[in-house]
Amino acid sequence: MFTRLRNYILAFLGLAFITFPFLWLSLKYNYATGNVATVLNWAHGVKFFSNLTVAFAIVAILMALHYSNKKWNWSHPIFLTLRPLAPLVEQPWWTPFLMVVVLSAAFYLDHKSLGLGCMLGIYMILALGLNITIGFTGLLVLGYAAFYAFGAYLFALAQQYIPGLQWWVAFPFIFVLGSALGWIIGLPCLRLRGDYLAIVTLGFAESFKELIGNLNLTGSDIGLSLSARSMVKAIPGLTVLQTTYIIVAVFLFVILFAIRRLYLSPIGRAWVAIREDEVAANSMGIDVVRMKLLAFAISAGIGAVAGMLFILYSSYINPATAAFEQSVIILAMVVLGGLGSIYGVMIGAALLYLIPEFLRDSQLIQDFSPNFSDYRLLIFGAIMVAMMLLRPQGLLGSHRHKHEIKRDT
Amino acid sequence: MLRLSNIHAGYGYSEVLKGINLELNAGEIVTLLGANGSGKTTTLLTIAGVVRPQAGTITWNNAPLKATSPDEVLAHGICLSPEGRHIFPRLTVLENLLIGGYRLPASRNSAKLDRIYTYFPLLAERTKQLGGTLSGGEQQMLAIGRALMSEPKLLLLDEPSLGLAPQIVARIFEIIKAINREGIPILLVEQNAREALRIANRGYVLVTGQIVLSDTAENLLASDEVRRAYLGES
Repeated sequence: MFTRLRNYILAFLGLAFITFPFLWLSLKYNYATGNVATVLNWAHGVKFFSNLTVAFAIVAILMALHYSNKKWNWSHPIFLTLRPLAPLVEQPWWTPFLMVVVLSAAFYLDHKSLGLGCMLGIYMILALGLNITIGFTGLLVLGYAAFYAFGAYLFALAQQYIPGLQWWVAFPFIFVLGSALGWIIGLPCLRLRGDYLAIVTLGFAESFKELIGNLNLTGSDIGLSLSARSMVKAIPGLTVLQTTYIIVAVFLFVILFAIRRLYLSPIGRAWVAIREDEVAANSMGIDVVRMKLLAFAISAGIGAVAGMLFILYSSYINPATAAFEQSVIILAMVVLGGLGSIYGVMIGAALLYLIPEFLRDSQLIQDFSPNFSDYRLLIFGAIMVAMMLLRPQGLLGSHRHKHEIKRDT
Repeated sequence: MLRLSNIHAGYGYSEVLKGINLELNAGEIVTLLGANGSGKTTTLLTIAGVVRPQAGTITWNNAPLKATSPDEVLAHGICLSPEGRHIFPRLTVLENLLIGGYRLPASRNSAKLDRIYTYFPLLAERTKQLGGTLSGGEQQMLAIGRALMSEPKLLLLDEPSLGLAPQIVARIFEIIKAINREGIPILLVEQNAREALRIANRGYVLVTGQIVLSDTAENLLASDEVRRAYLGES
């Protein structure tokens, strides 16, 4: 424990040292002249540094509590209330840095980048959710966007009938109902494998899209929008967009920790065993039916929560959210990042979402050729093809999948 | 302990087992002999709950075994180590073993792992290696070790010597005998009839889904019929 804590403190000091000059000096872009000037900004630096210290202190206390597990009595009520926080300290050592950087970015990013950040977080949550079925359990689900749209529509509809419904009231219900939908879709699919399962889930997603695109209840083609009373309430001192960004980031971290925890638990082992060999998994006492349904349900619930976050961000939803292209993009994020790798699929989501955005907006590319952004999907496709040729197991493919692909070729 | 009375079972419309009566008492090793397609594996699969019997009853500890799937049968303490080993090739040795103890509290894992590593010291050296990269004999050891992780009260072993070198086969059989000495009864299905009869207490001979002969292992080894049909002697 002490080596871990020592590394942790050293890492904190190191980070503070490295970021010190950068934070104090902030860049100021002059729109009129196009000049960039460096400006000393003490308030910036102090705010960031104090945030960093508080975050590190909290994590250090949690770490101390967790690693003292063997010596102290965990059944003491004080510790029992802290027990749910234990997964926080089981993360890789760099997780707290990432959290601080991601959360404090809300204060520094401009309006457009915050919007990108929100959508990126939502895509990462989707990729993490889909990874449960495809990556862990080996069930090829192709219609994931349906669960995404389901969550968004559920919130949009509910706030029409319950005026002033807030997201924090709605989200447990959205998760549970999304999981229930996943469970119901999963039930008839259990006998199917591989391509056939993909076809069934794709069919479900398509019919779901047609359904919401034609019902008057769901606003048919026009879609639904969020009333002002149900939108995100800004944290005092922040804008609505900054608040939304923080909400998305917190959801992302909570879901990330929960999935990591699940993956390392007997449930996660059971999922991987089913992916590897269903017969053996069953004869080792794993209830294959229950575990597959659980994977379906949790995955769908996470998709639905991502949908709710999406409508909080965009305050508007239409049937295109459930489109086939959406499902394919989320699938591509999972495959590109590396099936079954938790951090891999997040990197996959980042690349697949940011590359097209970058190709559309980058000043560098605009200067090179004003019409260049017309070709952005072409370049995107080329990158995808190159990736699949060079690293078929995905960017951070787990060693298991690497092995599988090597064996097959 | 385990009794099969008049079991009929099969796949779809084809009936493989045509009224099997079989008994296994506490502490015994019982072996099933028979030619290919005689129903040895199907008998094991029926006990393990993979194949559902069309008629007949399975009695386990004086009560009918009412379980419809392998995981429910395992909850009664009957563990099948399937034919062809079926280890998880892309999980490490340790992960493979941990899945064996999936239903049981994790606090008992380390004691069980120690016991398995004393049976199979090779596995202790290779805990982090992927299951698929082990040799056939090591994979079989892993499969038996994984089955032991479930703390079985009855172990069903299907062809543990399949595709292994004679030297390895001898070692696997020694270990099976050692496991049995600790009080776990074993129902063994084997092509290698001579080795199987050597460690078994009793044996049954199956021909096209029916038991034609049942006797103690010594008598079967001595019987002319068995020698001719299964031990390759004339």
